[in-house]
Amino acid sequence: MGLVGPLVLYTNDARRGRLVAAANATARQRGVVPGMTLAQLTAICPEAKWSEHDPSADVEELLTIAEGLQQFCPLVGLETLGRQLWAGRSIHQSQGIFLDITGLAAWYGSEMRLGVAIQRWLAGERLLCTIGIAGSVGAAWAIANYRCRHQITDAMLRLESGEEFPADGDWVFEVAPGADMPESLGRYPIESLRLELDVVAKLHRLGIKTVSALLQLPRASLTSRFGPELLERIDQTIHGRDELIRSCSVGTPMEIDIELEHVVFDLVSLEGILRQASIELCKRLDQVGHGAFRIVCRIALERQSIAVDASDPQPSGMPLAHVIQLSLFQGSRDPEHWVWLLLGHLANNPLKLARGAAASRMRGHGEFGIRAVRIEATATAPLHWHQNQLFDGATNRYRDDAARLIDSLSSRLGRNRVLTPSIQRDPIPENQVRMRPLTGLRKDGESQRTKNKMGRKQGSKLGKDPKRDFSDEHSLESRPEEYLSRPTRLMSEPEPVEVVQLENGELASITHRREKFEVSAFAGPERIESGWWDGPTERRDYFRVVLSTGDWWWIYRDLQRKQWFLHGCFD
Amino acid sequence: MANEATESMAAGRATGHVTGRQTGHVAVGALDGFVAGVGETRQDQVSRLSREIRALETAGRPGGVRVSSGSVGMDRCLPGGGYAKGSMLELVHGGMSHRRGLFCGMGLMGLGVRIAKEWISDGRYMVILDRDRQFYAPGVAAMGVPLERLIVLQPSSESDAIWGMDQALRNSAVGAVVAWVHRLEDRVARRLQLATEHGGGVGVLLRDFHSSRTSPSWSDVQWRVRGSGNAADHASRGTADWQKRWYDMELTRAIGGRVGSRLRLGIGACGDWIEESRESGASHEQKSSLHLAAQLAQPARSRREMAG
Repeated sequence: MGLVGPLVLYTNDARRGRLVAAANATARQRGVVPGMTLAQLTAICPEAKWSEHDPSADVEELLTIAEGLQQFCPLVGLETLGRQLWAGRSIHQSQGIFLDITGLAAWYGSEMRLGVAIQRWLAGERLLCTIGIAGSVGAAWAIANYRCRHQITDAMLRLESGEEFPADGDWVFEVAPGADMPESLGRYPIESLRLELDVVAKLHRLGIKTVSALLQLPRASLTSRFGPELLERIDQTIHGRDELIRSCSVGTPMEIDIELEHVVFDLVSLEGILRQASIELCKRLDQVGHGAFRIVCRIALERQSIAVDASDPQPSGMPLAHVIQLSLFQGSRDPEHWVWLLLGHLANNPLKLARGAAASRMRGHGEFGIRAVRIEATATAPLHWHQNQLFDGATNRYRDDAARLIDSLSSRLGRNRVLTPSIQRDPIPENQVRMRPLTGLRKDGESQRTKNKMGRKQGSKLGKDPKRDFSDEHSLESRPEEYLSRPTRLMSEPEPVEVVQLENGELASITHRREKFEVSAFAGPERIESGWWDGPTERRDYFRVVLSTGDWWWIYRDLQRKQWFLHGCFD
Repeated sequence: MANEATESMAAGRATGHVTGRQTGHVAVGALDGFVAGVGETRQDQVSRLSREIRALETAGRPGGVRVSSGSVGMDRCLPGGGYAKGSMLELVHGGMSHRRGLFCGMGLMGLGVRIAKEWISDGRYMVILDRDRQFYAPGVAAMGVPLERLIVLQPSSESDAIWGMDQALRNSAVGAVVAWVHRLEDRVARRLQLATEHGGGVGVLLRDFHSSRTSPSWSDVQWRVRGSGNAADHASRGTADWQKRWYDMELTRAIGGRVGSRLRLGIGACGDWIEESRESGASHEQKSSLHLAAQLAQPARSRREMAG
């Protein structure tokens, strides 16, 4: 990991404009605090780079991790939010994952060993994590969020300053055992109880900073003074009151498990097993009339004849399961298509299987056999076929073939590399285009079209029009003058250039990377300004420039910094 | 065309002198000695053999269907009046001294997308390979390319890029793939050509002069393009020229086409072709490819244009 400067994500607040939603450790070290406006940010940390926070992408990543964690435990869910933002958090969104490990410790030897196994897997995915293991959801949340906070910050700073990601084994955080909860939690700040901002503010005014100080107050008066939620949180965290974990895989379980009698070592057998599981699952989807948008396949691995040792679950740090996460462009219940995608994924990420006669000799030498396969459809939607329309036939004709292509591209390249652009209503050029993945959009992310245009049918069924999504509409379409006024290539980071401007305002030459170019013609300026409500104002004068070489560039003068930048080219 | 190809292939098999269709290398040795003397003139022989070779090279393509580029001038230079389905097209920047690999603005992407647009008018998809993650869509959208049928690939490695292109070209739902290509090995070029023939779309490769010389592709058509943006042009044309972008094009490769033809072609502000005949020297401009749908969508504009 190279040197990373201060990075900030902002969110748009209707009243206060752009607010910092999240900042990396470097930015925080320089005084950036979530909740401050971008104007304040630029005052204290002008070199910070910022971009808009994308809540759906956040949830997407968290759910992807949660699906991976299901190899350790079947019941995995995102943290449940309260009505209001909790103190200590800057965005009202799930940021943690709960695993119900009741009864699982025996499989791994102890809770600590399970924690270490999870931590190693996450480190393999290049993710930093804090883990709390406790007898209640609330206590585990408090430990995970507040016990190792300083260690995580230090580790993040080291990574951002250019250090390599720590190798497996060097990266061990303390996993808190669940026995002595009430005593150790007493030292924690009251924010660790997942309280709302106003309750924490009231307690702070009374000088109550820690959980132990809070517990000194008479219990009977808490509800009347601070509302019923405080008592509920104390019970959940300290007294082990039960709390629900909402599993990520809700609804009818769309999954097929195939346990093998003997461990297999070859891909041919695996293909047959995947096909069998896919056919079974597609039949189940067919019964409810659904198609899958997301498929998770877990291939349980086992060292041949040496069963995973309970006292040392992952001695070599290898995973217990190979997890394949597929996302699809449109709902599908075609088993052959699934198998094709799964095999394509395995071709690029091969299993470390012992092969042929070597299988018997390689026992215990880090090569694995396949013990079981589970295929699960984690996101499904109803599929309905509809009569082709007269005017949209051309588009629909190719939709199925295109879906297959997009699925296979996403499977190999990654869903974040197969994109479609959408144009936003934003005057600032770099914010005007949003690239979105074409596959696997979840219900809690963004809406996904199905073949039948489900939303329209549901809307008409309810007797009202479907909700109009203004943010998705193109603001620039049918404006013919735009083609030659906007470049086809936009630099992610504008590059500073030196421009010689004559007294009459004409541009004479541009020096870019120490190379000087004569300007043949130019058009401009075109003033582009951000709204005052969007935080620090951006004021730029853009020019289209034709160089003597025949190239067309798009440059601007930043009116606040009094500096010229090259921003794009008409490629 | 399909019949011609079949006959030619049959002739090739019968004489046994034309081989290597799979690898793309055609061995024609000793044809003179065997075939001459049947009554054909040398010119007939050459043209017949070139037909046979062409038929063998394009045997995998959907039978001789061609798609107009939308430009009368460009179509006139091309064999059959358009680009063949399942063919590769190469746009090479003509400037030898152009800074290779650096930031540029030669306009090849705009030209490539404009040509590719004709290939997706039947509802197919366009794929753009964007290795640098710098593709910017508003201009392309204004050109009339429907964004809902635009797929942008951002592969992380060269091998992924080639694989992605191959898959896209091979798919019948993809009308066109537009990509900057710098290095291209023989085998990769042939693989892309076969994929294009299989899919029936068009592959538009954008290349700089240096890379096209050092690693030639298997494209069927190659245009050498120069931006027409010198100072004299702009001084004489004034600011109105910002509504058009002109290209000086030379056809450097086209099997059966008018190789060596030169063309001065422009793209207007709404993505329409603007043609200027170089031979006549007059500023005869002809707008083309204004579809009925576009006119209906903007009746006022259409009326103004018709009124002059």
